[in-house]
Amino acid sequence: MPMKPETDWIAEHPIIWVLANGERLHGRLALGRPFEVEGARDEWRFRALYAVEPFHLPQGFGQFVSTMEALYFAARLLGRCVFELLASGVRAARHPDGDPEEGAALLLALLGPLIRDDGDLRGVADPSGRLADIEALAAKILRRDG
Amino acid sequence: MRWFAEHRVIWVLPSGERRPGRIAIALPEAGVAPNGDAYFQCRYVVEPCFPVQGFGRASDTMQALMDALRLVGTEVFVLLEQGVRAVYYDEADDPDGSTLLLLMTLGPMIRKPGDSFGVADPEGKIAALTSRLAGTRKAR
Repeated sequence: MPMKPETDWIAEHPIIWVLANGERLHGRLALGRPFEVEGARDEWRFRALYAVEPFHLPQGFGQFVSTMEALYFAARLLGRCVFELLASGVRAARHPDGDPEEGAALLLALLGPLIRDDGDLRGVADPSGRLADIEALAAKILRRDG
Repeated sequence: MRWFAEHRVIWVLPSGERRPGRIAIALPEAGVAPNGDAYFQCRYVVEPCFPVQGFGRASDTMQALMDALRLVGTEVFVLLEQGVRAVYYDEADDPDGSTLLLLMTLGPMIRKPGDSFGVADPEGKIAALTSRLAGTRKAR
């Protein structure tokens, strides 16, 4: 289990961000290999880093019981960062002369359900509303710490 | 297979039988299509219910991983819809409560088969893929 994940990116997506003023910035979306947090003493000990460069440099949040939990949470945080960028008017292109709107649409397709409204369970049966409650709590945590 | 993300569970079948299992995702792998185009694919498994799978040809490692994260969500949805539940410990006595934890982990990646993940899908290719996935799946 790697303890120093800084350079161990297992998924990357180069991108050119197009700011509202037309300026273009080279960037990257990246997810890191989940790792064991140094000094963690209980089962909640895994974390994965994510980056939305150059806006959000590599960061990670929380500690989870499995590497898969850590990975999924990092992916959700990455999705939230991208959502906030797009919501603020930033667009994206895959190529230096690429169309910003088309690039943003491709980015939405890439991240799909990670770009979504909070509390939307996408068709999972939830008669008691317990899942929605948990989702709302998770969204609150994501907003606070993401 | 170089698995880099794993999550151990105990599946609780509708009959009450419990089976140890695992959800795992492998590192994206590079491949070459028959026409010479390079692509990436990320394999995943939902054991022991479904075999190792890898769908699609992605243009980069992020796209390959996102495809795998989504398809794991669809496979878990198929299981839950069949009444299967998941607990994390042998002695866990609240399968529904434990399943909530799994749902929370997968979050928005839990997808109904035939769902196009909320993205534009005018030709229905994404929906067809998730439907095909569900159609070929029966928990073993």
